[in-house]
Amino acid sequence: AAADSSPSATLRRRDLCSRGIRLAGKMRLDVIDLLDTYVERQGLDASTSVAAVEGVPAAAVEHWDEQTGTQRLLDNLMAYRAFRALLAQMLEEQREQLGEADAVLGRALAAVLLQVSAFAYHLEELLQLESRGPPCDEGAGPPPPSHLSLFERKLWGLGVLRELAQWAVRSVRDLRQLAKPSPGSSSAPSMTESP
Amino acid sequence: ESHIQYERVGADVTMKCGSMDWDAAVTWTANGTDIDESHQNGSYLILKNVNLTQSGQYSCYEGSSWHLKYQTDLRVGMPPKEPVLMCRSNNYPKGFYCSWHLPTPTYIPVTFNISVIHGTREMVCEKDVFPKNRCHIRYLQLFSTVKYKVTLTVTNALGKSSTTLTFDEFAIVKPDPPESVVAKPVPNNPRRLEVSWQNPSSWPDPESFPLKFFLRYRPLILDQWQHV
Repeated sequence: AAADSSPSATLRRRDLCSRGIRLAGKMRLDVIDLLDTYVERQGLDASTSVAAVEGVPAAAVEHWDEQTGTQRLLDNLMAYRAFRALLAQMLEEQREQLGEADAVLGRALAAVLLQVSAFAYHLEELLQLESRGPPCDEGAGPPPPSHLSLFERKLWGLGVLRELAQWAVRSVRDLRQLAKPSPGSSSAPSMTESP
Repeated sequence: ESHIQYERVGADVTMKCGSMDWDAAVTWTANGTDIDESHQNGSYLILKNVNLTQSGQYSCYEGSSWHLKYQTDLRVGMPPKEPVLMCRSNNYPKGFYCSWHLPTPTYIPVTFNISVIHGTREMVCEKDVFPKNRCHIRYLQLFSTVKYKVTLTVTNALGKSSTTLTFDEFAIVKPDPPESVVAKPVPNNPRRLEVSWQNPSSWPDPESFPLKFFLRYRPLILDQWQHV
């Protein structure tokens, strides 16, 4: 079944895409700042390499340019829903560990969590325009890896944030692909937007 | 039979006249010219502290019969120093290329071997016909947090050396310059110029991966640049 290609739907899609691109761009900048704060507050080294992180959606993808619009949106939505749960976990753990002592990190985590939730919602809006609406939200994320030591949990958190930063870049690219006029659709006025 | 002999600059080289005894009477030549006996120890030829100009064909002839007993092609050179390697993606997201060179020549033939590893996966780097010291890799994955590790090994008869680069997917992205940059005067407005340009043709998808351009200009008579 094809996506709704009426002129109003096309315009709405492009409008949602350009807003989504701005959201993702801002989110990426905030995630980068959060990474700096996290590394500092958790006493880690910025150059630490982290192995593939358990339960975290990887941004890496093969045949990216061949994905359909619907697939892109679904992959993004699944990822950000997962990150919403992961960040909520990190926030809770951070509050348990440090209490209110480290408000800076807590605030930064909460701000990014808010943006991740907003972006997930934005993606659901975009999916409404595709013939297939958004899948139901399972709510809870994967169970936290409970067997890790305190230090390992900190590294795990670093892995989560790095992967999220990567996703934010990918999301901008995905939305740009989505915003391209598809072959056969009527030509639309060109969008001017900042990169 | 003749063969090739590689020696380091500055080495002391002793050449034996094939299977001839040490006390046999022989004559050595270098590129057809007789070598003075002072360089001989018995039938051995001694070349001390060889330099590049001493490369050439060395032949050994039996004293009386003038039979050719031994011949070798001496090539004086150096073991390779650490090569200079760079990798760059000017066609993101298609792939990237790596190119290399030696900081100083070795004067003898070298072979280059390159390996590209992404996580646990070994990737193929397809060598260019021209220029020779370059190869291309196609991205199999995009948006990966796993670093790429490129190792280049250069080997010649006198030794080997290698260098490794480790980088993220995004860190090596560098587009080519804009193309068809044209400045035209504006009719009826001598104080204005119209500048136009194109995306570099090597950049495959400017819509999904837009490029940002910066323009500066100055009248020839001034040294300071103005930025637009």
